[in-house]
Amino acid sequence: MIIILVIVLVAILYFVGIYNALVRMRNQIKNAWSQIDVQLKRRHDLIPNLIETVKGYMQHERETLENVIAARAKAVNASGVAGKAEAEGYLNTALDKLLAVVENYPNLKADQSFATLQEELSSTENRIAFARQYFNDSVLNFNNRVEIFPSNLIASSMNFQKEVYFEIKDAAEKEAPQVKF
Amino acid sequence: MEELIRKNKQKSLVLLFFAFVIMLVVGYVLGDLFYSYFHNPRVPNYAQDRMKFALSFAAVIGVIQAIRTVLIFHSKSVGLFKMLNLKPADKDKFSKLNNVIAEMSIAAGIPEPPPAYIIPSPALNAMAFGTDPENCAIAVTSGLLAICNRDELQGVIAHELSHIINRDSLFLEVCRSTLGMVVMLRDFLLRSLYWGSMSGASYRGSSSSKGKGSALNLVFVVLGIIFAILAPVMIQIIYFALSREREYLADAESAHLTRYPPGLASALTKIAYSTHSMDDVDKVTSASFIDQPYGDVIVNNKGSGTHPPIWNRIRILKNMAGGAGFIDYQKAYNEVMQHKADFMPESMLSSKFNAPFRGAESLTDEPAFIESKEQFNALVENSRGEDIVRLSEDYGFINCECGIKIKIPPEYKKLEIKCPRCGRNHILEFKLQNALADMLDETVETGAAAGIIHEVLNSDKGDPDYSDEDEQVYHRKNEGWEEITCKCGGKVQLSPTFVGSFVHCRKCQRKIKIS
Repeated sequence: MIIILVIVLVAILYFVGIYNALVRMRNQIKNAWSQIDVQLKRRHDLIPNLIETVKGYMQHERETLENVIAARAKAVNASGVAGKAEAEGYLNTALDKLLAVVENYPNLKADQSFATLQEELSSTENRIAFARQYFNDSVLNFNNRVEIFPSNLIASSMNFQKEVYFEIKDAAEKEAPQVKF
Repeated sequence: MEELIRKNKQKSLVLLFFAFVIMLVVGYVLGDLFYSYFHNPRVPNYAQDRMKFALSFAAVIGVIQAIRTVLIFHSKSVGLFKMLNLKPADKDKFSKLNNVIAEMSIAAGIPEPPPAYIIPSPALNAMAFGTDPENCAIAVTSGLLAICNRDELQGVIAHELSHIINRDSLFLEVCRSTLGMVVMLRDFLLRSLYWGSMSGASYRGSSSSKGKGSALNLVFVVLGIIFAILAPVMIQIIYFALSREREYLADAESAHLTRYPPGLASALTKIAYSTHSMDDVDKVTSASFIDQPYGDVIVNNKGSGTHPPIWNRIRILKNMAGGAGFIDYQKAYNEVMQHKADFMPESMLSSKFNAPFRGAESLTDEPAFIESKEQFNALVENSRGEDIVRLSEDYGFINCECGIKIKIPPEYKKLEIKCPRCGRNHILEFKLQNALADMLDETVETGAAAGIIHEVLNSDKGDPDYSDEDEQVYHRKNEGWEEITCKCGGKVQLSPTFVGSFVHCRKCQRKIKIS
C-alpha cells in the first residue's frame, strides 16, 4: 500500500516538474520574442535620425532616402511573425542600398554623428540577429522537449503545441544585413 | 543552458563540501593541539574533554566559514573595483564595447546587460565580476579593446558572460574564502607548534612519557599536523582541475553564443602573443590579475593553475570545423586533447542542437585577424591603446583637418581649442554639450550644441580680449615655412600646411591675422 502511494507521489512530482519546465520554456520563448520586438523598434527609432543626418549630404539620393522611409513605415505597422519578417526584409534591402551609396560621400563618412549612428545601427542589426538566435534556440529546446519521450506524453495531454521558428523569408535578409563602410 | 548551470552547481557543491570537510579536520587538529597545551593530561576525563574541545573548536570554525559563505552569496558588491584601477566605460565614448556586451547579453538571454569597465593597461585581458547575471560587471583592458575587432571582442565578452551564467566567480570566491580560512588555520597551527616547542611550557612534554596510549596519541597529532600542512594544497588541486574545466566550458559556450569560434580563437591568439611581448611592461598589473580574489581572468599564457594552456584552447576552437554547437566543441576537444571531455552537458550534445557558423562581420577599418607573431607586432604598433586609456580618463579628442589628433585633458576648461599645428579653431562639442546641459538643465543632443554655439559665435565677431590697436596683420609671402615677429618681440612659426585665418603669439597671446 505504502509502496503504491510512494510510486504515485513520485509520478505526480515528476509530472509537475516536467509541466513546470514546459511552462518555463514557453515563457522563455515569449520573452525572446519580445526582445526581438524591442530591437526591431530600436532600429525603427534610429532611422529618422539617420535620414536627418544623411539628408544634408545627399541631395541627389532622394529616391534612396524615400525608399528607406517607406520601408520603415511598412515595418512599423507590420504585425505577426511572418508579416514582420517580410517587412523587415524590405527595410534591410533599403538600408543596405542607402549605406552602399554612402561610400560616394567622403564628407558624410567623416561626420562624427554619422559614425555614431552607424555604430548604433550595426549594433542593432547584431542585436536583432542575436535576439533571433536566442528565440530560435528557445524554440528548439521547447520543441525537442515536446517531441521527446517521456515529456511528450505530458506535453500532448496538456496541449503544448510546437512553436514556430523565426525564419527568414526574404532572400535579401538571408545575407545578414552587413553594414559596410 | 539550464542543465549546464545545474551540472556546474552540483560539481561546485561537491568540491565545496570537500573543502569544507578538510577545513573542519584542520580546525579539529588545531583545537586538539590547543587543548593539549593548556591542560594537564592527568586530570580525570582528559581524553573526552580534549575531544569535546577540539570538536567544538572545529564547529565554531565551521559556523564562521558558513556565515562568510552566506555573506558572499548575498554580497551585492562587485568588490574588486577599488583594488584594480577600473574606469567605468561611458556608453557614448565606448559605444562598441557597451554594444557588444548588450549584443552578447541578448544572445545569452540576460535581460539587463552588465555594466562595462576599462582597465587602463597595455596587457590583453578581460574579467567578469559578480555573483549572478543581475549583479555583475565586465572589465576589459584598454590594450585588448585597442587591438580586437568586433568578432574577437564578441568572443571574449561571451566567454566572460558564460562565467557569470555558470556562477564561476561566485564559486571561485567561496572556494578562495575557504582556502583562506584553511591557510589561516594552518599558519596558526605552525606558529603555535613553533612557540610551544620554544617555550616548552606545555603539558605535552610530560604527558608523552606517562600518559596511557600516548604513543598512539602522538602519531595521531603528527598525522593531523601533516594533514593540516597539506590541506591547502589539496583544496587547490581539486579547485584548479575544476577551474580549467570551467575555462573550456566557457569557451564552448562562447562559441555557441557567438556562432563564430574563429572570433574567440583569434582573440586568444592575440592574447597568447601579447603576454610574451608585454610581460615586462606590465608585470605588476598582470601578476595582480591572476591572483585576484574576485572575478576571473580570461587567460594567461601558459596555463598556470587555474587556466588551461592557451594554445590548446586556440587549437580546439580552430578545430571546430563543422559548427559552433557544444557537440562540435566536444568533437574538437576530443581530437586535440586525445581524451574525452566529460564536463559537457549531455543533453546539449544531441545532434538535434546543431548550430551552424554565421559569417564574419569584421568591418573594414577594424584590426584584422592574425596568424603570426609578426602580424601581431605590426598590429600593436598601430594600435591606440593609450588613447583608449585617455578616453577612459575623460580626455577629449579632436581630429583636425590638417591631419593631427588633438588630445584634450579633462583639466582643460575652455570650450574651444586651437590646433597647435595649423591654428584652426575647434569647438569642443563634448564640453559644450555638458556646459549647455548644465545651463539649460536638460540633456543636449549630440550635434545640437555645435549649432547653438555657431550662432553665438557668428553674431559676435569681435574679440573681447584685444583692442584694435593691438591687432597685427601678417601677409603670407609664400607657401613654405615662415616666421612672424610679434609686436611683443615673440616669434611665431607658420607651417606650409597652415590654412587658418589667425594665430596667437605664444608669448603675449596677441592675435595675429594672416592674410
